[in-house]
Amino acid sequence: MLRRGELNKTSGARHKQSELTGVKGPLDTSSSTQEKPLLELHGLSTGYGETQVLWDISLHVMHGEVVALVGANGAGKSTLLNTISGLLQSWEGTIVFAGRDITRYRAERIAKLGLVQVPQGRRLFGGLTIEENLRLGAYTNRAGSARAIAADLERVYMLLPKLCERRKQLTHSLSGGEQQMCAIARGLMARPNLLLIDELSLGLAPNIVDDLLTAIDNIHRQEKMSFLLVEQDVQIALERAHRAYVLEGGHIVLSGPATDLLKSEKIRIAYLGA
Amino acid sequence: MILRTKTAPTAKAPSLKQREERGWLWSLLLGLGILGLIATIPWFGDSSALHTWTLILMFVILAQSWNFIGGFTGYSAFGNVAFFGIGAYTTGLMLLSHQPFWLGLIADALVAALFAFLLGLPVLRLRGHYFAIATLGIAEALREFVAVRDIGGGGGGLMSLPLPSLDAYVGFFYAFLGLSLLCLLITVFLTRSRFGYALIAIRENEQAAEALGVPTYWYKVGSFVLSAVPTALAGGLYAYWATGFDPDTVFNVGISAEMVLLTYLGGSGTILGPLLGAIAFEYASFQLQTSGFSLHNTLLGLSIAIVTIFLPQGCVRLIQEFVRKPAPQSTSAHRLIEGVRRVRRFIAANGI
Repeated sequence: MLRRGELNKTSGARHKQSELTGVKGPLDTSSSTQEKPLLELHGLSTGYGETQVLWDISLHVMHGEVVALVGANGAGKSTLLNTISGLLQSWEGTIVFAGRDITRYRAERIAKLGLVQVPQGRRLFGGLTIEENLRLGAYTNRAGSARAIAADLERVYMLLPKLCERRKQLTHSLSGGEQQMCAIARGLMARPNLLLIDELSLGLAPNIVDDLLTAIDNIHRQEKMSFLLVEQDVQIALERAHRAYVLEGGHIVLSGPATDLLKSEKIRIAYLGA
Repeated sequence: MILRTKTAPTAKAPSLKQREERGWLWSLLLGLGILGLIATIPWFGDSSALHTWTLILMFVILAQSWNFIGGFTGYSAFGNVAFFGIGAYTTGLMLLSHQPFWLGLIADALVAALFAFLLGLPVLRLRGHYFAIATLGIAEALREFVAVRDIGGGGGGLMSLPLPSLDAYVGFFYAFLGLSLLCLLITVFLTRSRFGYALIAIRENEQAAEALGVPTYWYKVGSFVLSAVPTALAGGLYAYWATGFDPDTVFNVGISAEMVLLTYLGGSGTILGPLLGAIAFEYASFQLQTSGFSLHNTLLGLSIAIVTIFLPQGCVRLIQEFVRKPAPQSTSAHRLIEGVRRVRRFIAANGI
């Protein structure tokens, strides 16, 4: 469980941190219409080998926004995330991040710009300890110095105290929830401007998912970090996000404010079964 | 109350850090101690001991340098003997054209580094078995090429070099020793540095490493070159030391296999693993050979199988498991139970 008391005590210190990261996005998403989006996709299509998976995807994420990408199995959600983070090359279209065309960038260069992915299935460095995993998260050294990385580490431990307890434990011996925690923490250690989280809830008990989402909520509030959440669990995703896109068979079929989508008849019938 | 919760973790943290730092320091000191002991052999041993230990040190270097690509980066290169052969032939050709030996070694390192770089560009796009097979194939192709084009000039690629002076053999021994010391220091550097951690990240999960901003491709090429250069230098030293060799000796695929075996026997990706593995295995091998035991090679082959089945994590990890400090205030009975537990855990972890 997350200790809210502890979080409140240190929120002052973390406020300084968020100033350091230099995220100057608008605090309110409604006022952000004139602002340039942090991430913008235009007419993106891609696939594997001969098989096309995504058709003409356009979406955007504003500064400080939490956007959900929902859809059934095989809709192309993970493919889309992998294309954004550069692990997969796009066939057509453009990806613009923080004003820069990153369509042809390699994954490591994209990570350096502050667009970081928490991959599906966690993909931790199993033979290394939690702390080593977290330190590798700071590999791009966006924090700037060893001291700043150490401060980030403290901050992440404060946010997810369970990781601190087990910092010397090898990650392949962790439970699923702890591994997911570690994967998210590793993503945070990169000091992202935009964190892509692929299937946060996959294989986790509902209360653990709640804990993790609460942690993300806190980070979002305190750091004004943007999130793109890919979820199969539509209910969870729509409750937490500002806006959402619905992906179906490789096309975006629906988009809008999350609260509207949650109420929409189509979503209820297709995904929520009610 | 608040004070106590605040001081507790900070009081804990430095002690953890210190123990971590001591781990690699102990390994380094032990490695230096072992090499220091070996350094006394020319004073105490006879010429046959010198001969044996020169070769043992050569295998130490081969294992240590294979560890860079195989142990740290986790790419099972099965053709690293190619660099050994390239080193031997480059140095040999330089000597035959009346260049000084040191210049030959420099040329040998440069040629091997360039070759590893150019070879790494295509083959390091492959993974797993494909990478192993590709490197194996290239080493074999090189052996054929050198033999057919008769690079050595003595028929079938055979190369004969001028004899070094008799007292040069102690010099060869120390050259191998120095190179092995250098490899030990590089290994320690890898376990402590950002570059080394990036290589380990590639081994543990390449895609995740890439997503975190590690330039995986170039780091793989880098570690391939890093592993090629000491191997080639060992080949160059071997060439002059042996004075005569043919492609079948210096491009012997068995040497490639031995690099892998020695590293795994000791513990791949560890500081001392390749050093200890190579010394133990090669010493035993030479003893068996000189005793005239006819099943010598059979035994060695069998030991490869035994190591991969029973000790996939190597001897160093086995030792590490047992020297971990027991919990404070535990009685000797507790320690005995804990010892038994560790044996069982180790066996279980190794899938027996």
